[in-house]
Amino acid sequence: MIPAINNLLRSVYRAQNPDTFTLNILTACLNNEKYIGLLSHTQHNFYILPQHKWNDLIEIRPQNVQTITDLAEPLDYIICYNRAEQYNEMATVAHQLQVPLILVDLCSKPMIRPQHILEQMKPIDLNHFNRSVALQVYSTSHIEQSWDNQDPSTTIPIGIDTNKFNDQQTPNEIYVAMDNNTASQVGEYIHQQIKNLFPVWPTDHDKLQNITVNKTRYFINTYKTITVKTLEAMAAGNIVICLQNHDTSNFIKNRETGILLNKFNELNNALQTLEQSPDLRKTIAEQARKQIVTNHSLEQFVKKWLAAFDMIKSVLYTPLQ
Amino acid sequence: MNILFIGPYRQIDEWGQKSRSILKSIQASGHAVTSRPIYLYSSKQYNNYIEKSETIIKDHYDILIQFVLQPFIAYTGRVQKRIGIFNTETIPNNIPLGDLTSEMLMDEIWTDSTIVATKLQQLLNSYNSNTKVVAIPPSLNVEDLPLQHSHSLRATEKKLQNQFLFYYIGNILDEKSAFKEVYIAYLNSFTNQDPVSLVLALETPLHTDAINHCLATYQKEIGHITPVQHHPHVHIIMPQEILNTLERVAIHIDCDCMIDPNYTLLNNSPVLESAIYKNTPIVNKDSPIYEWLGPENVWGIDSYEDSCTIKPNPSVHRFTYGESWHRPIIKSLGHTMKQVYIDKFQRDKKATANSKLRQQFKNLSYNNILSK
Repeated sequence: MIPAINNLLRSVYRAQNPDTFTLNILTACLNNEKYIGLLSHTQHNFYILPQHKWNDLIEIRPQNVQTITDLAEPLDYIICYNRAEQYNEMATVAHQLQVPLILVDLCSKPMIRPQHILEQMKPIDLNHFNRSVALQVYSTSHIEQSWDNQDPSTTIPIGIDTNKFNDQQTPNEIYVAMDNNTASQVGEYIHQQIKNLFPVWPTDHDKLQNITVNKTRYFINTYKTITVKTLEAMAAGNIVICLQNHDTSNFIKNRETGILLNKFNELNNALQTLEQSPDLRKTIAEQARKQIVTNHSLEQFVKKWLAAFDMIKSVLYTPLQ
Repeated sequence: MNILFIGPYRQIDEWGQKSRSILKSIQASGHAVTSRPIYLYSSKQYNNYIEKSETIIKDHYDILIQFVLQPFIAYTGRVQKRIGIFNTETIPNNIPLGDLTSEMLMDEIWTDSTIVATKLQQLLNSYNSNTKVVAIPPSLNVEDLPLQHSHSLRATEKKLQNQFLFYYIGNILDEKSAFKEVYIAYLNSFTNQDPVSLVLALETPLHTDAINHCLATYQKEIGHITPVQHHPHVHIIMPQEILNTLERVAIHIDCDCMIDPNYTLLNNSPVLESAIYKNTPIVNKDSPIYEWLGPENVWGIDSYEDSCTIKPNPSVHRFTYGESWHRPIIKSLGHTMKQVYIDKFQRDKKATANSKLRQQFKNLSYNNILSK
C-alpha cells in the first residue's frame, strides 16, 4: 500500500495548488459501479481496492477508474457508500493510509442496509450507524434529515445523463426491466408474480450497446431504496414499480411518477391495470422523466461534487470514533 | 527556510508529547513551519486540535522533518534536506545494512543521546552512507503544563501524609522501563518504619491481579531478608484510560522524587516535566537527560551496557542482539534513593537549578541545529 506519509505530503501539495489539482480518490466498489461512473465525470482520478471487483455488466469502467496498486499516486480522499456494510472496511483503510473519509448516504436511517425486497429488516440499534467522517454526502434532503449528523455535510442529488437514457420503446413490444444485480430468489419471485405476462429483461447484460431501460416499458426496482438504476429507468420513460416504504414514497408519487406497491403479489394486477390505461402510463412516464431532467442533471451532480471536494480540501485525516 | 514537519503531535501518549515539544522548538527557530499530523497507532486517544502550522502553506519547502517509526518514512525529492527522528532507543552496534534503509534515505538523523548518535554515525559510515547523525537537546512543550494543580494526593490519601514520596510513572510489565529494579531497590533501602512511600502511577489501566502478581514476583527475587510485613508502603494510581498531563502534573507537584532508570537512551518527557516542577529525578547516568542536564539538576545512577533482549520482541528488526542499552545497577539505585531521602541540602540545590528549566524550555530553539 501507499505509505501514509506520501498521502500527508500530498495534502500539502493539494493546498499549494487547490485550483489546478486533479484529486486521487479511493472509492469502495461493492455494487457501486453506477455511482462511481457518475463520479468519474468530475475528471478526477478514482481507484478501487483489488478485492473490490468492477462489474463491467453494470457499467463499463471509465478510463479514470483504476484498481489501486503499490505504485499508485498518493491519495486525497476515500469514499464509501454504506454505513452498515462498507464503513468498517473503508475506515480501516482510511486509518492505514491516513486519508479523510467521505460517506455517501443513498438511504435513510430507517432503511439502513439497502436490502432486496425479500429480505426482512433485523431489529438493530440504528444509532450504532451514526458515523463520524470528514464529509457526509446525502442523495436527498429526506435522507439528510433522517441522520443525526454533526459533521460537515452536503446534499447532492444523483445525476443522470438524460441524453443516454431516453425513451426508445417500440409501441407493440412490451418488456419489463428488472435490476438483476440481486439475489437469484428475487428474480425467481418477480417471474412468478408476472406469470409470463411480459418478457423480463435484466438491466445488466453483456450487450452494453443496448441500454435495456431505453427499450422497456416497466422497471421493477428489486431494492427497497431508490437506486441509480431506478433514476435511469425514470429518465428513459419507464414506469418504475417499487415497494412502498419510507424512502420510495418520499421520492415517487404513486400513480404520478411511478407505482408503489404494498406487496409484490399486487404486481401482476398493477401491470394489467396499467396496460388498460394508456393515458395513465403516458402521464407517469412523462412526469417521471420530467422529474429526472429537472432535479437530477448530471452537470449539477458534477458541479456539486467538485464543490464538495473543494469544501474539504484542507481537511486532514482524523481517527474515526 | 520553509520547513515541513510530520509527526504524531495529536496523540496524547509519549510520542505525541515529544512530537509537540520538538515541533515547538522547531517553530521557535523562527523559520516558516508547516505541519501535518500522523497517527502511529490505531488508538482513539488523540487531541483533535488544529496546530496553527497546519494552515501555513508555502510554495516550496527546504526541509522535511519526519518524526515517525522507521517503516512509516517516505522519501521525497522535492525538498533540499530530509531529517528523520525515529526515537532511537538503543545503541546500534551491529545492524545489517538492510535494516538501516530508512536511516540511509535521510540526509540527517536526530537522536536524543550522543552515545547513540556516535555509534549510529560510525555504523552508517561503515556502509558508506552520507547520512549525518546529530544529537539534539531535550525539548519540552511547557505550554501544556500549568504552574499549579488543585488536586492533592497527600490531602486525599492519609497514608501519604508526612511521607517522603518517591514515584514511578510507566509500564511496570515492560522490562526496559526498569520498574523491577526500582521496586527491588526500594524494598532493600527502606522499611515500613521509614516515613517513605513509593507512588506507582500506571500509564494505562492494568488488572489488579496482574499488578499484585508482578509485585509478588519481584518480592520473591530478593529472598527473605526483610519480612513482607516490614516492607515499605506502595501506593498505586490507576488511570481511567491513559494517565493524562494534568494527572501527571498533580503527581509531580505532590511527590518528591521521580525515579526513571529505564534501559533506553531516550529523553522521557515525564522526567523533564518532573524537573520543571522543582522535583529532583533519579535517572540513569548514561541517559540523554543526565547527559544534557547533568548532576546539577538530576541524580544519576550507575548502569552497565548490555545487549538487548526483549520478550516478546515487537519487531524482528529492532531490539536485536546487535543493539545494546544500559541496565541500571540496583545497588547504585538503592544507594541514590537513600541519599535523595537524607540529603536535603543537595535536593534543594538541584531544585533551585531546576526552577530555571521552565524558562529554558520555553526559549529553546533548534535554530542552530537546523542552520548547520
